[in-house]
Amino acid sequence: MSTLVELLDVTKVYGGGWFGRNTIALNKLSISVDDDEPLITSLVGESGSGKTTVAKLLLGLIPPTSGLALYRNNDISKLSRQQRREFRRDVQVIFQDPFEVYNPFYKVDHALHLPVKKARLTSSKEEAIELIETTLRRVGLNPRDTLGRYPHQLSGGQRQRVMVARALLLNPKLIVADEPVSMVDASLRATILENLSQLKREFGISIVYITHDLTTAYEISDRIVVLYRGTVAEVGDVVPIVQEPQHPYTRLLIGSIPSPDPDTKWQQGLEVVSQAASDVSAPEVGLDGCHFAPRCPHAMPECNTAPPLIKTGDDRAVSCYLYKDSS
Amino acid sequence: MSEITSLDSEPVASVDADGFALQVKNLRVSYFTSAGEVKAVDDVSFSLSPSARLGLVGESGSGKSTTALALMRLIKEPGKIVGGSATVDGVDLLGLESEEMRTARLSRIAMVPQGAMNSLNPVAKVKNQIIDGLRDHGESMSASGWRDRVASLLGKVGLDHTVGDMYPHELSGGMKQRATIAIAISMEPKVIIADEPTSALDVVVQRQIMETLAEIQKEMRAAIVLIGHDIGLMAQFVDQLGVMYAGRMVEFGPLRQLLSDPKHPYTKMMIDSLPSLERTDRPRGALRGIPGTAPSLYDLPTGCSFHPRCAERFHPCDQHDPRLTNLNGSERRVACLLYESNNMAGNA
Repeated sequence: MSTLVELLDVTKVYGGGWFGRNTIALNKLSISVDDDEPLITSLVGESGSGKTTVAKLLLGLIPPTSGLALYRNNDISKLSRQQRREFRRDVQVIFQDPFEVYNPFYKVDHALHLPVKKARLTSSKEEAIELIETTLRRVGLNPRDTLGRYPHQLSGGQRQRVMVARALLLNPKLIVADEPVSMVDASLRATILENLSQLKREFGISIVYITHDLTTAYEISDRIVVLYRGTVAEVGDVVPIVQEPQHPYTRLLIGSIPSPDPDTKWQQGLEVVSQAASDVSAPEVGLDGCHFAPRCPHAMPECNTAPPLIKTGDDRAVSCYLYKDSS
Repeated sequence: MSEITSLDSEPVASVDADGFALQVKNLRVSYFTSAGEVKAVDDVSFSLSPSARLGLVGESGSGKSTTALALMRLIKEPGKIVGGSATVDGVDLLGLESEEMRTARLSRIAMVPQGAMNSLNPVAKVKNQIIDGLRDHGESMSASGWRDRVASLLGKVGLDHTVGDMYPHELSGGMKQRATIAIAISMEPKVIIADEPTSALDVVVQRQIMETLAEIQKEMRAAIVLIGHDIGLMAQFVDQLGVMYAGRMVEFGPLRQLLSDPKHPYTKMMIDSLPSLERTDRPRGALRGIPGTAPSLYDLPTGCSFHPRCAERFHPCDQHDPRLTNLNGSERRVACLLYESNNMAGNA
């Protein structure tokens, strides 16, 4: 089993500021994406959980404060020129807002030709055009309706698909998708999620899907990582985790999702936490215990030291002392 | 909060002609641009009894937020309310002078805005923002009177009285949204309009805020219009649902019937496109998007605006514009030729 990208025991502290307050965005977090079999891994968490920080680390955009960010077992910040070029091809990104990623002064062709040129994918202009047209067709776009146009002349869905095509051009192993559907309408959301599944199915690309929406994560992913304030609360196969969540936070999260069936009442079986404690702000440096303990109905004295990830099944683990006897 | 309040609203009060909290008739809003008139809201009508909860759903550009702004009379140039009426307590809001409308806001109809972060004044304490509205409506009382009033309003929305002395930046997103609700209910309006009140919040906080809103509404017997696109939230909160498309109401009816047996092809496709944790009628991941894109209001298709995307279109759909009609004597209304012919057959 070879790992493509991996975060090992990574802590990221955003620091300083006027009041000298440090914020721990991630606390000793480890995740990995394997090269063997394409999988969709969802990172789910509320705002401030550190999910976008994970994305930036995976893309090599920021260095970890401590711990390691690795690409094929090499430190991402110390890659050779050649390795870096491979890394930039293998790992691609799709951003949240399909409206803001384009330069409005250029036709969309520019966004597609640039990676072809930078990564030296083709040797002639004609080949480049052919490659781009083929790739556009692969994501369901008609090149004639897409090329030669400015971003504002395309619909939101077309723009997001051109971004998918841009990522696909480089034949990546992994695409990091940071909230790709949070800005689009419900009808389009389904289409874009379909596209992501298709990337895995037809092109064998792994996807790290970053979202605050556990419902869409459940629909498309194989594995799920539930983040809570910079730590992993629960990780494993998506179906058992959603059907039988173990961590009190995962249970609270799933119980809070309004069901589209009016007969499934919202608050059934939900543990309620006090209003005062449930208002979230990022933890400051020095919080050693379980980050969820202040909101947790099961908090106990040992929660003052951070719980390790405890294996509770073939492919799942939970970071909670309630399960310390299951390993 | 050890006991959880049920989100079930009271059964809709008996409907007599004057018993409505809000009655909207043939509302029309247009934007007058250099490219011509754009009909953002086209002939929308609905009525709400006291304590009733209506949800308005639709894609962006469908006119749901414009409807809300029109009811508050907050449409800005080049937009204009070009027709219709909106009656609250026997008074047509659309016919009021602007000074009268100022008084009607908060006291007859109030709005909980979408981005609580941007709707509070960053340099004023929460208590002063609450008092501002009340004072503007002619209330005056002693300092201790104001203190009690503010504390009681904050208490109703689940905030501690000490929040009154804080500035918005000291509050979390959820607390800020609670503060805007406190302002909206300060004059006990008959109608509360909530435009995606929780779209910027996490689901856990969303649930808590909606529970609070439900509790207050029950106590005040106000009617609520909840605007949004999250069908899950609608299913848990409202008792009637209106589906808007390209400025029109295309389907309207009791929530349960509408969700379990949608009639309009757009409603059907919208429900099919929803991600869910518990669908059993299709495999996990088998989501279906609605093909095509929402039409531009500048250039609406002829006939039914939805026909280019519709799987069930037939010959007259591209020529004949369907009107919202009652479905065979039921309280459900739908604007689709599939049912117009049914109706005609039924009536003949």
